[in-house]
Amino acid sequence: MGSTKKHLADPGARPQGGSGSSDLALIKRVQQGDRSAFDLLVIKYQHKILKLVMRYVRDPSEALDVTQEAFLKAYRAAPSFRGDSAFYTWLYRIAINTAKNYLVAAGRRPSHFNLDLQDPEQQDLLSDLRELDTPEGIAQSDDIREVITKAIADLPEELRTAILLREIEGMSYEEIAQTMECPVGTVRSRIFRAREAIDKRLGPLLQ
Amino acid sequence: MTAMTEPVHDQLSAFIDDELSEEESAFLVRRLERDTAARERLIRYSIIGAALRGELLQPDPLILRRRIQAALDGAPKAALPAQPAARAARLAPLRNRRLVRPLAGAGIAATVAVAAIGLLRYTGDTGADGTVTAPAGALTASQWREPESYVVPAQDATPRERRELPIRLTNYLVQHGQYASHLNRTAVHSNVISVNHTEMPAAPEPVIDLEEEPVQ
Repeated sequence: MGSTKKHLADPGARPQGGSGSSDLALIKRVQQGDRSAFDLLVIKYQHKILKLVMRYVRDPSEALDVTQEAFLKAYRAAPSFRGDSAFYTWLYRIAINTAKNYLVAAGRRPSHFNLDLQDPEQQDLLSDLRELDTPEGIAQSDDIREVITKAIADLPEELRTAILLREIEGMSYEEIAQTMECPVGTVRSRIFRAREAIDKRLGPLLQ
Repeated sequence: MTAMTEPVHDQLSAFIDDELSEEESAFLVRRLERDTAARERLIRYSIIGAALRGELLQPDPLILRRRIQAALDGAPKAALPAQPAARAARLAPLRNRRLVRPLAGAGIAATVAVAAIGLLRYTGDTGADGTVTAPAGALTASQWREPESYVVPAQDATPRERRELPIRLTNYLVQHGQYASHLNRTAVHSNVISVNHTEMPAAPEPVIDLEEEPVQ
C-alpha cells in the first residue's frame, strides 16, 4: 500500500480504494479530449470534493460555486496531469487552493475545520443545500436516503459489512478481505451484490 | 439482469472502487462512452456511496454535475439553477483575479516610471515651508534659450580669444582625459594635435586660465 503511505500526512487527500487505475484510465481519456470521461470523474468525486470545500467555505451555495470552479480548473489543467500523484490527491489540492483563494479574494481568512459527519451540527452543513431547491427536490432527496437506509438494513450481514467497510471506512478490497477473513474476489462479489440489491430499490426512484 | 450484463455491472462496481486493473479500466471507460445504461448505473452506485457517507447533495444529488456540464458546454449562467446576484458578485474577484493582477502590475510599473522621469527632469529642493523650489540658478521656462555652441568661433573672436581657445580646449581635454581610459585618451589627444598642431606647444603646457576646478 505504498500509495496509501504517501498520503498519510493528510488523510483527506488519500484516495479511497485500490490501484488508481480507474482514474488513470479516465484522465488519459480526458487528456485526449474526451469530455464524457471527465464527467465520470465528476460523478465519482463531486460529493467528496464538496464536503472538502465545505470545511473552508461554510456557506453551502458558495461551496457549490467553489467546488464547480475547482472541477473546471481541474478540467483545464488535465493536460498537465502527469500522474506523479493519484488523481484524487491532485484534485484535492486544486479544491483546497480554490477554496483558500476564494476566501482571500472575498476578504476572509481561510480557516480549516474538520468536518465530522457524526456531529449533528456539522451534518447540517450538507443539509443546508436544501435551501437551493424546491420542496419536491427535498422530498426526493429524503426518499433516496430512506430507501438506501432500508435497503442496507435488509441486506444479509456479510453484504452489509462489506459495503459499509468500503463506503464508510474507505477500505480497499484487500483490507476488507483481511478484516472479513475471506478472499479478495469474495469481497468484490459481496460489494457488487450489495450495490445491486440497493440499486434495485433506488432505480425506480431516480427514473 | 442477464448473464451478459452482470459481468459489466460487477466491473462497474469494482471500477467505482478503483479496484480494476488498468487494462479492464481502459476497456470499461471506452464502453461507458456509448453505453448509457451502464453510465446511469455508475451514477446510481455513486449516489449510494454518497448517501451512506452522509455526503449526498440535497436536494438534487446531481446538481453539481449538471452545473459543471453546463459550464463546460459554455451555457449561459442564467440557464443554471438560480444564483443570487450577490453570490455571483462575491465569486467575481476569484474569476477576475487572473486578469486584474497583470493589469495592476503594469499600472504600478508605469506610475513608477513616470515618477522617475519627472524626478530626473526636475531636481527641485524642498523649502522650509514644504514648498518645492527650483535650485538656485536654474532657468525658468521663459528664460530658457538654446545653449551656446561649443564650436570655436572663427570670425567673431578677438585675436586674444583666437589664441586662448585652442589652449583652453587642450587643457580641458588633458584634464578630463586623465580619467578616461588609456585608449580613449590617446585617440582624443591625437585628434586635437592633428587639428591644432601649429598652435600646440611642443611640451605639455601647465594648465592655465581654467575657469573650472579640475575634476578630483
